[in-house]
Amino acid sequence: MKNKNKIPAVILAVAVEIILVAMLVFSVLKIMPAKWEIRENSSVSQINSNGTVSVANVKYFARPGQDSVERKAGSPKAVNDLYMTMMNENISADYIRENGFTQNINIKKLSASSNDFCYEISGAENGAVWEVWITFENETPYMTIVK
Amino acid sequence: MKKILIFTSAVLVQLLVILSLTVYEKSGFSKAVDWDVDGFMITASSVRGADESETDKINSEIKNYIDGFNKYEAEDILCNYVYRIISNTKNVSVVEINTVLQHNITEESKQYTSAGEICTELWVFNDNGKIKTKWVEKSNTAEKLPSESKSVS
Repeated sequence: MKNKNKIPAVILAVAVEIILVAMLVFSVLKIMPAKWEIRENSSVSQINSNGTVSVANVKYFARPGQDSVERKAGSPKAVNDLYMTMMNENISADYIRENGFTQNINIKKLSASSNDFCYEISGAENGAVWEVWITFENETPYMTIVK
Repeated sequence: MKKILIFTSAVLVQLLVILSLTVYEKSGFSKAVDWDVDGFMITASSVRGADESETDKINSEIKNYIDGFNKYEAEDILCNYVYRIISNTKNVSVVEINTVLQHNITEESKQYTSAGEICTELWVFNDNGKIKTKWVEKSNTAEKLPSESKSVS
């Protein structure tokens, strides 16, 4: 009889614990750095002669363990598309025109957090170095390229 | 009784950890720049991990940008600035400055006509306490000033 009275209290305690652990995991995930995959030393031959890029050099994964594009309201895809567009406008067209298809693009991480990622692109024959800054606000990616 | 005490302590510790993580996420420690917007001006009050000279550098750039609109004020065109923090993450902060230009203001009727708008983004990259900035003009519909037209012709 005594044990029977304890059952609701135990259920309540377990429920509280489950909620707390879930909240704890969510809080930790929120501040954990996002996972980025960099294709280092990407070949310039991945940039077509008309200035379009067939393969993005950087891929964004929302959280460790997630493995690609569909995870977070389309953000990884948006970043890669945005990256390719910016590459076309700011890097590849100039790069192709000035340097041809002779060198590899080197990518180096500058910083990363749960909602931003910055990296450096180099490898141009003229020694030009670009920095790409990406930041997320409410799942929307913003990106700029600095020469 | 002992079990209840242990359980209560565990719950309190977990709540404390969750609270600390939330406070960290909302605090300046997880933001590249602490901004202070007072309606008329936006200023950086502190920069994560940087000394005061980096904060001064950002504020001086903003002041220079705003001072650039003196040429409109000189032509009796009123400049209204609207500031919006687009994103402020651990290493990158983006602020939009939208300048609304108005002229032909008559004091009595409060009438005015638009002289266009200039929308600019200020990007700040906090590279471990070292600040890099980039200004990006997103749109510009400002009318040409008479002085600018003369210099073109």
